[in-house]
Amino acid sequence: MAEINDEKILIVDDAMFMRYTIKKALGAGGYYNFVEASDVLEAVEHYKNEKPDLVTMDITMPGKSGLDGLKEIMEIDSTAKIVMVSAAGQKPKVIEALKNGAKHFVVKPFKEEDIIKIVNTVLGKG
Amino acid sequence: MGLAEKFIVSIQNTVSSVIEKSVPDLKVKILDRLIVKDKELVLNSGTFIIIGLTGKVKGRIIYLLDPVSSKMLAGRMLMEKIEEHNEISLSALCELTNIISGATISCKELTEEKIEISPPTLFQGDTVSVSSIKDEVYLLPFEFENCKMLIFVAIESIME
Repeated sequence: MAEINDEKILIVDDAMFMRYTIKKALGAGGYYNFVEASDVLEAVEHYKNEKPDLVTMDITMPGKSGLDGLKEIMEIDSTAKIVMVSAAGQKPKVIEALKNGAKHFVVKPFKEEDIIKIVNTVLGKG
Repeated sequence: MGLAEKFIVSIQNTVSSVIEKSVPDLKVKILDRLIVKDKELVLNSGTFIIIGLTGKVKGRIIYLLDPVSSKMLAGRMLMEKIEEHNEISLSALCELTNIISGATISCKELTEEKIEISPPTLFQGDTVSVSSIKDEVYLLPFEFENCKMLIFVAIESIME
């Protein structure tokens, strides 16, 4: 059974199914404390109010993109831990995100163990 | 191989690989494709997801699943039985088509071609007709566990 992890995770994705999938995957890794946002506006508000320990940020969203969201959150908190969630073929956007402060990325479709490992790594859990 | 052919072959290969990665233990069989031109296609009830293509290849991709197949596929993605579609099961199907389409245009045969896709638009209904007056429409059938998915690829133009 996975160790219980009480870090708060903000999941940002316009697709309900992706938010569900990420919660389920991280739940299997012992995480249970989630906040969700379906766009950048909501994500920034939640970041200010909830102060999550980590953010997963979809790169492609209608309106403001995940890159915009990353930059806005990094302006609020330069120590923010943000993992970008990318589709195949978005390498230039992933690189730009990493240059702008994202700590890691995961490519859809991903296995549960991959995202758990990445989140654990970014949170310093090895 | 022309760009239209490259696109069709890429999408066929991508469908299997993405579905098999997204749904463990689900094997996808690629069936023979058809070309339909200058015809009106009338589609039976089900779930339809349209994704626009822009850039070097202009057109659209329409994913069609009959009610049984759509519930089966969404259920396997969510790992639960779907009696009637709800917001999350439909979101699962949209996201799947989004990933397939994105992976198709990013595969190594097409990555230099600068093709972009629109976000998916989902419809559900009893009867839908698709006119293929100008476009050359490819019909790509796929089978998985006694269920079927049809993908219509309508190419309006290719910029050479």
